[in-house]
Amino acid sequence: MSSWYFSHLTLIQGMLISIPLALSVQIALRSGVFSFASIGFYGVGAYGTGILTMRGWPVLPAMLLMIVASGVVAYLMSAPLIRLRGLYLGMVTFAFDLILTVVATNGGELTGGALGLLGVPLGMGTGGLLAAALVAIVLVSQLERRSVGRALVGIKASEELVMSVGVDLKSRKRTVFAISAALGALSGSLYVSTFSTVSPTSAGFTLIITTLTMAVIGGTSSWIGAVIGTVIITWLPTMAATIGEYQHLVYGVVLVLVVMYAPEGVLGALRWLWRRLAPKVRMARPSGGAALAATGPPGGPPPDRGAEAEAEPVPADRVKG
Amino acid sequence: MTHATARTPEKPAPAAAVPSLDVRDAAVNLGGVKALDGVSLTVESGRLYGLAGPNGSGKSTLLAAISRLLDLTSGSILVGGEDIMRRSPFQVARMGLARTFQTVRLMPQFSVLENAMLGADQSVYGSSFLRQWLMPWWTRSREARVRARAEAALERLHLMDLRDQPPLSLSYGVQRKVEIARALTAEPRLLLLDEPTAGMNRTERDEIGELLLRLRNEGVTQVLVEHDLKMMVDICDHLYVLDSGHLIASGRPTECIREPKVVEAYLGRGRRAAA
Repeated sequence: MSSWYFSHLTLIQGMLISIPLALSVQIALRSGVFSFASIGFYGVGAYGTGILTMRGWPVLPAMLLMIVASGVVAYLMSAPLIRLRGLYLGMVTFAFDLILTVVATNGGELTGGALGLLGVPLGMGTGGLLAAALVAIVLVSQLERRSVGRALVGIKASEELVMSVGVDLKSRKRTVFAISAALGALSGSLYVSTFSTVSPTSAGFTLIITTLTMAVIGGTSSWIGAVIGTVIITWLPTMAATIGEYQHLVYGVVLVLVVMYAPEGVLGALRWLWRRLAPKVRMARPSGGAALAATGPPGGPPPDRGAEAEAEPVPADRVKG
Repeated sequence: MTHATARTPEKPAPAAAVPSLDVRDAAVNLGGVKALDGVSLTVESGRLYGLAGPNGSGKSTLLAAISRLLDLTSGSILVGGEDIMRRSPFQVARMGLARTFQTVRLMPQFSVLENAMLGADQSVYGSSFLRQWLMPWWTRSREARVRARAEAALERLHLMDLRDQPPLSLSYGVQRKVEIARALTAEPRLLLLDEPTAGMNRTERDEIGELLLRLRNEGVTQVLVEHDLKMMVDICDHLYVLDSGHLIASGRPTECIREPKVVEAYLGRGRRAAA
C-alpha cells in the first residue's frame, strides 16, 4: 500500500489540488454564472504565493493573502461582469484568463517570463493538501443546502423568479464569483507550494478545458460531481496510458458525449441508476404518485427522498447544475 | 377615474387611507410598441382586483412593471404609499409583494415542498453565505419555520400529498398551483396573480376562485389577471379593463363588462364577453 502511495504521490497531490479548482467552476456553473475566471485566479494564486514565498514569506500567510486578495478583486471585477449573460460572460472570463497568461509571460524577473517561477519553497505536504481540499468541500457543500442552496439553484432556473421572491440577485452572483475566484487562488497556491514551480502555460487554455471537463463529467449539480470528475480526470490517463498525446482529444470526445447523453454527468447517471435500482424504497413511502417520478432520463430531476431523507428532509444534493 | 365600492364586501373596507398600490400614468415602450400608455389605477388594501383585457392589452406588462421586473418609460408606481421606481425587484418583494408568473417557473430539481419553500426563504432567513457557514444551528431552526409555512400553503392548495414529487412530473394545472403556493408561502400583503388558472379544469378553477376569496377575507390585497372573465366577475371586487395599453374601463365587474368599449375590445377580436 505504502509503495503504491509513494509511486502515485504526484497524482494524489495533483488530485487534491484540483478539487478546489473543480469546485470553483462547479459552484459558478451551478449558480448560473458561466465563468472561467477562477482559472485565471488559479494563476494569480500560484504566481502570487510563489513570488511572496521566494521573497521569504511563510507559506500560509502568503496563501491566505492571495486567496483573500483574489476574492476581493473578483468581487470588485464582478460588478460589470455579472451583467453579461451566459456565453458572453464565459467568453470575457476566458479572455481574462488568456490575458493573465500573457501578463505572466511578459512579467520580466518578477514572473520569470516564459519559464515561469522555478524553485519556489516547498510548503505543502499531502496532509495540508487534504485539509485544504476538505475545507473547500465543506464550504461549497454548505452553500448547496437550505435557503442559500435554493436561492443559488433558483438563479439558474429563472433570474426573474429569484428576484420576485426577494433574492438579491446581483449580490448573490457577485459573491459566488468571488468565492469561485478564492477557490481558484487556493488551488493555485497549493500547486506552487507543492510542486515548487509555475509557468504561464500552467494556467492557460489546457487548464480551462481540463477543469471544465472535471466539473461537467462529474456533474455540476453538486460538489460530489466535482469531486467525482476530479478523480476520473486525474486517474484516467494512468489507466489508459496508451492515449498519451491524445489525452486532450479524449477529454474533448468524452466531454461531448457526456453533454449529449448525460447532461448531469456521472452524478446524474448514478442518481438515475439509483432511482431504477431502488424503487422499493420509494414505494414504501406513504406519499402518493411515487411511481410517477420513478422514470426519467439520466439527468432528469434528482431521485427519491429515500432513507437518507428521513434524517434530513431537505437533502443538500437535490440540486442541479 | 371612479372607484366603485367592492361588490357585497363581506367585511368593511380596511381603514388604511394609503392605497396598497397606486399606478400613476404608467407608460412602457417596448421597441417602439406602446405596451402601456398612460395607465393610472389604484388598488385599495384588502380587496381583490381583476385586470382584464384581450391578448396583448398590457396586463402582464403592468404586473411586470409593478414587480419591477420591467422599467417604466414614464410614470410612477407606489406600493403602500412608497415610490418603488428606484427599488430593485427583490426590494419590492421584501416589501410584501409576491407574484405568480404566466409561464410556470419552478425548479425542476427540487420537490414541490422545496419549490414552495423558496417563497418564504428571504423573509424568514435571507441567504447569507456567512450565516450558512458559521451558524448551522440558526439556519436549521429557520429551515423548520420555512418548511412549516410552505406546508401550510400546500395544505391550502391540497398539495400535501404531492409534497415530495418533482414538479415536472405533475400536470400543468398542478404546477400552477405550486406557483400559487410559493407566492402564499411569502405571506404577501400584495399578491399579483398572472393567469393562475390557465391549464386548469373547471373544478380546479372554482377551487382557486374560492381560495382567492378566502385570501381576500384574510386581508390579502390581490391583483388578478385572468382570461376567464366569468371567474373575474364572480370573485373580483373591482375590475380594470385594458386594451392596447390603455385603461378603457374601471368599476364593478358586472357593470364594467357591459360597457361598450369593453364589449368592443373583446368582440372586436372575436371573443365573447362572458356573463
